[in-house]
Amino acid sequence: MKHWKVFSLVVVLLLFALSLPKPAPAQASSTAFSPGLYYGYINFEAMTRFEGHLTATGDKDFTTTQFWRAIYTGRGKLQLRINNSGGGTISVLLPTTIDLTNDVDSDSPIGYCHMSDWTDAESYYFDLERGYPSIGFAFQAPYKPATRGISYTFENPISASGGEVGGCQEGAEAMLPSARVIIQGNLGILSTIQFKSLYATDDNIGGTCSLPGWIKSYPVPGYTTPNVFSVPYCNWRVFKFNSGKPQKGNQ
Amino acid sequence: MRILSPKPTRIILAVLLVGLASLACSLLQFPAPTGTSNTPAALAATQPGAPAGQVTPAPAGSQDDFLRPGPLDHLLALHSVQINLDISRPDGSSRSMQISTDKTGNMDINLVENNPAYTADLPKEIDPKTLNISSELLVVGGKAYLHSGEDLDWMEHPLDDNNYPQTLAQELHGMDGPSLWLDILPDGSIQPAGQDSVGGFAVDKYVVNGKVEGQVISGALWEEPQSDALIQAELHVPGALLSAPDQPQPGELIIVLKAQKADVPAISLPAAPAATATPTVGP
Repeated sequence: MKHWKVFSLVVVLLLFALSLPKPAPAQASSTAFSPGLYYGYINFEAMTRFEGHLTATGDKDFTTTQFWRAIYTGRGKLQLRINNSGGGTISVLLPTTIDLTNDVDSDSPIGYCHMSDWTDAESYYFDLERGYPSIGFAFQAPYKPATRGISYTFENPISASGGEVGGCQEGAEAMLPSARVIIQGNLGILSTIQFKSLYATDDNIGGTCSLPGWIKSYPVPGYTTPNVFSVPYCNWRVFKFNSGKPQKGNQ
Repeated sequence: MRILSPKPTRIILAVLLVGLASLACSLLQFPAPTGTSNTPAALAATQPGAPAGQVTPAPAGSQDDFLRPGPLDHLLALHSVQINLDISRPDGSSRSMQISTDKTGNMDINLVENNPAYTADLPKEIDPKTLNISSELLVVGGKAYLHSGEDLDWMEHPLDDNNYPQTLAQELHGMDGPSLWLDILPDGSIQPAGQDSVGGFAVDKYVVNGKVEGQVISGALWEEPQSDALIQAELHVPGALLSAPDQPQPGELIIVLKAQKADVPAISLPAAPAATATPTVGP
């Protein structure tokens, strides 16, 4: 009988030990976010910029300056729904405006030709209620604006010429289609937004974000300066959605 | 005394039962074993090309539908109206949109985008004044056409977007629209302020005044009760809400929306130039 009691006590202690709270699963331990529904924004500027100069010396000096710059500005809406286990869903709605400037200036003893193109475009992207097992300190969501199409909202070829140089306006106009190709091609680089949390309370979460694959630099043939892709800023912030349903007057 | 002898055993049995119950409860909280359908690996396998860690999208039509139609969508659905939306941002950029919708739903949209970043950091050879920041889109039958002075047959080349009105509505649900900011306000921030008449509509007015993270979002809304359309709005959002808490941005985001009934002439595409005409620029 005594042995049976000791055995029972050991079993009870064992069961008690097993029933003690266990560490949370790894996917939940990475987040300190308060469960709930959050609405907010994502705001970024991505840029590609090149400026190069060529000088050919010989019987007559000939200089060419080439410049292009495209600014991609995203101002969108972000929704996080975080559940008790640290997972949840992410929704992204991200209109993006694009401004591309392309400029070629050539100067020679016989005259000059300045050609400038402006191309503005808009795109937008949304990805709704995609579920994730973990939304922690770092997370990501798809962002593929090229797949949603681009609306070119403004195109303007400008030229000025002097001396014996002609055909500049035709040249500026001929550059326009390539601007569309560049805009489309650059959007194709984007496939994901990576979010990094820098602050979090029960009421709001936010931080910085990045566009993988965008930041790079590559040489342009004939020039000593590179074409540089950069992200001057990328921020996000979401606020706890208080009532869980819209108030009167909300959209 | 004999009746007391079994008591320690009963206590042990009772504790044992409690222990078993605890164990059963704790087993229910164990994470699902690897290989079940909600693991990242399994779910990535069901979604080719999806980034790691994703699971299946939640069913559509969830309670807080991200793109649920609301008063702003109802406004865009009104016909023969003129809508002006002006956005002024703390960074100095702005966007103005004038939308004229005829009685069939076709639209004439004039956009003015002003972003100081576009004209900054340019080589001296480029005159920033050559950037014309305005553009005009005609939306006919749901397709949008960019009115172009360069592309003479622009009316034959619709934009990639096949449902521009929907795109427009979704865009207005973003950072530059009023809905995002109204959604995050605490209960009680939007209070009725009587009835009014604006833009030819009989409307209910609401005053907006609420705090988010210590910052006051203020303004007013005017809604037509019949259509539940947002007819007019003015919102002031502090720049601090558009930046990190430790680096509050000065200034404010100002969103001004005004709609009015208007006898908008029928909107249609002009005739394409004669086939012999050669466009100077084409896509």
